[in-house]
Amino acid sequence: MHPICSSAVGVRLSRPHARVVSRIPSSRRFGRWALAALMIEMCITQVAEPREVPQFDTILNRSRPRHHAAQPLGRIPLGRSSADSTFDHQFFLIASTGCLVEGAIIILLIVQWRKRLAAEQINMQHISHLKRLVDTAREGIWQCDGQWRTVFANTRMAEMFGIPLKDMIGRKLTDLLDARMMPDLQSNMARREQGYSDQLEVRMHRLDGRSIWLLVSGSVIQDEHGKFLGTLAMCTDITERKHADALRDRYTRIVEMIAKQVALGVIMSAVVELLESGLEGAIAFVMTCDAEAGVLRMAVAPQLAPALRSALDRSPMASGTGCFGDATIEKRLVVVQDIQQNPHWDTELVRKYALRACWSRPVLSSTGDVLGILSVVFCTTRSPTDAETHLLEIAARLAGLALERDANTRELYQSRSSLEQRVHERTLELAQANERLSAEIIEHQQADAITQRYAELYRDLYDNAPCGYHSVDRDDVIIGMNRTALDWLGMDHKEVVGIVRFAELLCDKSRARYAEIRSRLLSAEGVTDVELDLLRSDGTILHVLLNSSTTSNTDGTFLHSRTTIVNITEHRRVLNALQESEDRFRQLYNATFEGILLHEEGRILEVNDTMSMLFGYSRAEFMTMSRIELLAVKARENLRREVVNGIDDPINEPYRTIGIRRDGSHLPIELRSKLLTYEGRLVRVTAIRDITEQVRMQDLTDRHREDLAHVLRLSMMGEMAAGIAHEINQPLTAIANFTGGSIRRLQSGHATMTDLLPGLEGANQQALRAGQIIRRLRTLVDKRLPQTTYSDINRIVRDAVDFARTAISEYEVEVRLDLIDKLCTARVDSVQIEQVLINLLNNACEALRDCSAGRRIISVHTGLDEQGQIEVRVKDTGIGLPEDQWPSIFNAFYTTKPRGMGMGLCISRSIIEAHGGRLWAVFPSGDGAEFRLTLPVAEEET
Amino acid sequence: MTDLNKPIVYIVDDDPAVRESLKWLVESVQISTCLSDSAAAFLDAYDRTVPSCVLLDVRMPGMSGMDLQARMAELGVHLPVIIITGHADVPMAVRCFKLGAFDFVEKPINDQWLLEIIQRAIVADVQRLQYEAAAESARQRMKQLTPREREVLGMVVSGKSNRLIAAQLDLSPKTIEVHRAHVMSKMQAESVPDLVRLHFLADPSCVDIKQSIAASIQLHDSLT
Repeated sequence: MHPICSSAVGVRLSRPHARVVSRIPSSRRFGRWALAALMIEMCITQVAEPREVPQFDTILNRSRPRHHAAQPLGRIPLGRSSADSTFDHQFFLIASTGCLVEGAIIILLIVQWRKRLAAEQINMQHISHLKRLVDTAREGIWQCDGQWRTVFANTRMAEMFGIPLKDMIGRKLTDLLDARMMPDLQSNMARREQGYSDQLEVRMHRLDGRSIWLLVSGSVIQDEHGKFLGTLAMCTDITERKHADALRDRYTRIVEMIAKQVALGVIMSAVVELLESGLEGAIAFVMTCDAEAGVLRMAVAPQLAPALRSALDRSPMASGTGCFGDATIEKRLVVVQDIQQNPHWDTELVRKYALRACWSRPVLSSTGDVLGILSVVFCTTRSPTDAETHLLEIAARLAGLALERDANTRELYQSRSSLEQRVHERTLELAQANERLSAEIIEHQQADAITQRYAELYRDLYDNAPCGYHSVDRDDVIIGMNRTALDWLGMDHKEVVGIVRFAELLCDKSRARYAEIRSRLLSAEGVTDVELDLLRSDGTILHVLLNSSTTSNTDGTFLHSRTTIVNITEHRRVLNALQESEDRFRQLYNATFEGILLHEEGRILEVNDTMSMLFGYSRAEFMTMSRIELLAVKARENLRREVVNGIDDPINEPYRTIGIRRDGSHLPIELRSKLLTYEGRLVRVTAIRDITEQVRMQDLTDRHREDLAHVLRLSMMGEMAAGIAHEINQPLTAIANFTGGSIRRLQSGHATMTDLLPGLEGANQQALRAGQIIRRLRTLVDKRLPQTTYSDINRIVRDAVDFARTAISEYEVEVRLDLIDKLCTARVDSVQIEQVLINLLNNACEALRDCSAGRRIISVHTGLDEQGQIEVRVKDTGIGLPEDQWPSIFNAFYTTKPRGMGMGLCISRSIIEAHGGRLWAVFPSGDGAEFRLTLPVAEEET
Repeated sequence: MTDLNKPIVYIVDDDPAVRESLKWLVESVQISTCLSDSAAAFLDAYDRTVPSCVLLDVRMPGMSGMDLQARMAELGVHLPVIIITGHADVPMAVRCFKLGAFDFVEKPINDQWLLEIIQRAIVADVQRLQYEAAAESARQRMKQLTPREREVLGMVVSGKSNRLIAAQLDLSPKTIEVHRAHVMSKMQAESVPDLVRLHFLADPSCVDIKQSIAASIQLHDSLT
């Protein structure tokens, strides 16, 4: 593609042949150029005068691409169009060409030259005329090109923007547009570019910053293809109208606010705003009258400096006090052109804020009263124009309306609220009255209820009292009787009251007594606690206690008597029963098997008949005796001692001793004694029981136990026989060996006496050992009388362990002794205690039989328990006993051994209990069993 | 070499009197004694090279007499045990003999009887020691044989002829004869029966005569 230089070939021919071939991008190719050239050639040759053609050819030839330099083609007069001879046109061909390497641009301007000059002349006249018109027009006239650049503006237009005329050209007026208008304008511009003409109100800024409103009526300039080339506009200044419109709007809005009863402050602010917007550079404020204080109070002053505001507050309402006071008094607009020159103003303050003019307009009510003042101040000296005066007037009127309306509203509100207050008070009063009334009613009701309740209470008291009431008249006729009495009698009110005489209700035997009472009552004496018998309707007797009082006239005559009767039937029955019981008791007392003895400090006060039978003394003889004389001589000392020791006081436990009969024979007795109060004195009652038979039985039992224990010892021996045999066998074996050895030595003949000595000594010792074993066995086996001796418990334990040694060694048991380290003596039959211990040890060994070798241990412990009694514990580490068998182990014939009799523990327990101790078993949580026995410690050793 | 003529009687009893009296009795016939109060103490004191017997009380704390017998069997102690018991019953006697007791006496002891038993026990123990010594000597001789000679020995004592052995070992009868001569001389055997005796002495358990005879008969049949 060749670099191209665009060009146009414009051919303007006479009208009939006019052919526009412009905008042919003619020189893209040589071919195109040739075509264009051909076309031109054709056209031209058609119109050219024949003599001119060769010249035209020359020109064309010259313009061929070979000629690189641009040169004017020259003016070639073209001939008149042959087809249209009516036009007398002279055509010129003005051409120039610029050549490129491969192509040429030919600009051919074919100008219709003729008559143009004349037309131009007329145009010039038109133009000057137009120019005058344009320059003197009231409207601004303005034209811009496609890019909105000013291409023309008249003087008025320049004035409107405050821009010199020459500066207008080329300027984009859109730059001066108020920013708020931009969207409107853009849509307008778009419409223009599309070819629509219209009117538009726009807000612009002058160069000095002031804003102006323009009414722009524009028409669009387009080329023949409709392309937007610019616009021509007429601009009218409508700023004044706009201002007036704005003021009117505000005015209307304020009126609306007043009508809608908007808050006064808001309305006043709107009024001030109205003024400030209407008056350039004004600071407006409103003050209201305080008629009482005679001052003006600052109400609304949004733009005023706070210092000024407070300085102007409370300005007096008086003439000659500056513009405000004058305005209020004179009720007219007061204009001060320069308050800095005014003596009534605080010059310094005013200067500080550079205030000059101040106009004050009173705000009047519809009746012409001054409500406040409307003021504006300026920083320049100035007087109001008519329009400004009018504006002030309007503002003042609005303020007046607002203030008046506000005052009215307030008054209305006050009156309404006072009315409401009164209604409220009245309602309250009524409610209180109502409340008082209901309280009174309730009070009355309560009082009635109380009265009613008391009446019921007294009625109930009378009727249902736990005693009978009745009253009789002078003739003894019953005039009233309560329900209790009626119920006792089994009668009805109707058949008694007013009909029956009281005497008729009595048993026969009580009538005489009552007659006596009657006479006393009639002489107005009261009677108390008279026992009488009444006859019930069912025929049974009612014993009563009667109390009566009388009522008499003032002259002393009997009116009626009032009587209470108390039912003592039950009381009477109890008394009788008591008497009977006492009789019975006395019979028992004498008939009991125990002798009963009442004595005070030993002196006999009372005995029963049994005592006589027991001791052989008569009752009279007993009374002369002391208690101690009833005891055998040797028992007396014991009793004395125990009385001294406090044991006798009181003897709750039965106490056994020996009594002595009248014939001197002894009597085993058991005493039981107790303190009691007898006829007001503290005496001792002693029951004495003959226990001869018991003692005999006890002796027999003891002997049986001894026998049993012995049998058991023998049986124990039997069980231990194998062990005993082994034990005796040992020394026997040794003896046999020693003697056998000695004999052999002697037989050998070499032995000396000294050689034989150790053998003989050994034999001797072993013989003694065997004897000891036998002796020990005999003590246990011998049938003998029980011998109670003072014995050391530790010695008994050691002996028992020695005895049990056979079992112990047979079962390879280890015995651990843990014995008390002080002498602990018990008064016991040591053989029997040993027997018990051997039995326990044997059992323990038996229990250990199945334990592993190292765990066969028996611990024997002696010590004192918490009660200070001797305690022996025998504990093994054996297999123990199943829990269900624990309770049975002390039972007779209970055994776990294959050949046991089951008497061991049973007899052991009875032996220990016969010694005043206890024997029991505990089964610790681990294996094994522990048997414990206690024995009383012997106090002294004789 | 220990003196077989100086035997020892071990006395084990927990009762010191019995112990001392037994010592007194045994020493009256000039036999040495060694006293122990428990089975464990005896096991410590025992010397297995000396001809001896032990008098053992059945009932003792700790290890009882019969426990000790069982323990001795475990330890391979084979001296004669004479049990002393206080009260003998048949079951106990049976148990003792089953455990290998030599004899059994009851307390109190008949001294004549006891001493005779002791004498017999000692003689038995001497024989036992001699036998053990001979066995040991045979074992020593066996150790001198080469493996091949031991193989030949095994076959000879099971009654196989030279020809049979040669066939079985795939050697010439001549070679077998040489091996056999070496075996005889190393074992110091005068005849084949003597060799058999020595072989048995050295290792009583290793020869199952019956089996080897059966094997040889079978082989013999197969060859003929």
